[in-house]
Amino acid sequence: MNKPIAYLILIIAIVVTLPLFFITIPLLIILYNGLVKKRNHVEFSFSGVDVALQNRGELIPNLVASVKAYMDHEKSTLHDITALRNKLLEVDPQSSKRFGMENQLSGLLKNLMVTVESYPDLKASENMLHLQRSLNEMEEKISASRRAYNAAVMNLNNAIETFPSNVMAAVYNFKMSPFFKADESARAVPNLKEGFNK
Amino acid sequence: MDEDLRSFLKERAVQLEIQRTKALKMNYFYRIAKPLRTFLKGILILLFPVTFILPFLLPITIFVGVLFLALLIFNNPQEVYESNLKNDVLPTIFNKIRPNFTYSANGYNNRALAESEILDKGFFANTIEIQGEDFVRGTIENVEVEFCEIKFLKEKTNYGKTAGGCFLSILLIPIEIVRNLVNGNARPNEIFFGSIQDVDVYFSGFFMYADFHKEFEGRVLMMPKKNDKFRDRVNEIFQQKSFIKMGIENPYINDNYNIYTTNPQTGYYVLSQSLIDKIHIVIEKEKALPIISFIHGKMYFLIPWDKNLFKADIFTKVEDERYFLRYIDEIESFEKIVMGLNLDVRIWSKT
Repeated sequence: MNKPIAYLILIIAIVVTLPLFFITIPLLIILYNGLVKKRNHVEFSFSGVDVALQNRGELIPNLVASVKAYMDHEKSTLHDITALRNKLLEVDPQSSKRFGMENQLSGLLKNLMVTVESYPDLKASENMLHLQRSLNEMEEKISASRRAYNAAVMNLNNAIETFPSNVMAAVYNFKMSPFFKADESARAVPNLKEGFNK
Repeated sequence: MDEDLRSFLKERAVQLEIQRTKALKMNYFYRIAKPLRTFLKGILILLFPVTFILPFLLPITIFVGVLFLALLIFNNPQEVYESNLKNDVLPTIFNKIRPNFTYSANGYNNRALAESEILDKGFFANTIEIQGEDFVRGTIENVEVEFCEIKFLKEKTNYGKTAGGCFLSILLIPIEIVRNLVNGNARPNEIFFGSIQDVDVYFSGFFMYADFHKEFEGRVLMMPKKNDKFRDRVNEIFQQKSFIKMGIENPYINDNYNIYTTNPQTGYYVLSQSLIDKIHIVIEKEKALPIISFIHGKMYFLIPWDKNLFKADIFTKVEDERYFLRYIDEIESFEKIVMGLNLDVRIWSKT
């Protein structure tokens, strides 16, 4: 709904329901407050994703240090992970590039974990086991925070699109938020044959 | 079944069959004693108040009372037989086939039930008594679990008895008036007039408490919509908001449940998509909606059902060790619920 139409509907609604102003005004206040709360909830949920991703980022130096001594042949993978992690520290957390890079990092870490399986000494190391568990838990928490964010976005978008809150949303410029979506590499069917041939 | 277990169960079968035969014989006497007892009880209920008005009926009342009390020594042989099975035979079977479990015929973990916060909900308000049966505690693949059959009881007005009592009171009023006129009694006796309450089971089910496979702080509650009382939702509005309602991706669960959590991120962390799917499978299998709560790393699961676990019937002959196979199946079904919910898979920080 565009702003002029929203203003027109609002004015007509107020004029028509003027005798019932003691119902209309509180209703308008409730609608506005509801939208604000939903928007704040989206921002709060987004910060939850941010925190989870940062926690994972903090694990990476320990992971690389543990793995380096054993995995001479995987130097390029380790280098890519370290470089990507350093780039993420510099990029703007709100930028659209950021989540693409985080997804890329997830992919590299998954590949690294698969490669660890080929190094029995490393696999059995206490430190490595602890790191693997921590990484699994981090990924699970990232997934949970993304789902919480998507649920908050759905509530906000529903409120922005459905009547009568869409009128207030148009008047006060509430914008729809994007959902977290899987990137193309995550959606692709994994090539198990390639994995077994490595 | 290995030979050692077979011979053990065969021995138990022989002992149980002897008890069953005795119970069956007692049952013939019980079938006469029970209706006679009910009849005498009815006579006593009528005679007792009338004796205060017509004292010459006292010897008859005493005789009927003594006869009634004498018949009370006949316990229900079916209940005695089942009690013997659960107190004497089942613990030894559990010890043999599942030494990681301990079994008691009666009881429940009061502390776990209180911690689950399920009883705080309006649906369970007015519960005056809780009965637990077939209480099992132990570990399944290093997961600490406890489960039992549980019954919640509350007072309900018995309209039949109330009507009967009121009718009796109405009958006694003219007799009482005549008696007072004859005796010149300045102080008439009170005649009972009110409702009669019975204590009745309003919810019967299976309660399980297990260590959850993820470490978390916070609370998540899955409440079936039909059990979620309006009063709880009103309380949440007017009292401090401790729970936030959340929705999940499974439409069946969303349609049938109200899910509350103290923190949405904790809620989604606990209720992973795979766990939700597994809960859905349990619902389809048991054809009932469980009430589930997750609190500070523990899971509490309460599912309504009418099954009687480890049931024994005096009319079913205990031929051999195969009689106990269904009890072993019931034990395995508990393990399947735990493993079905993946509680035994500890790949997270909780080792």
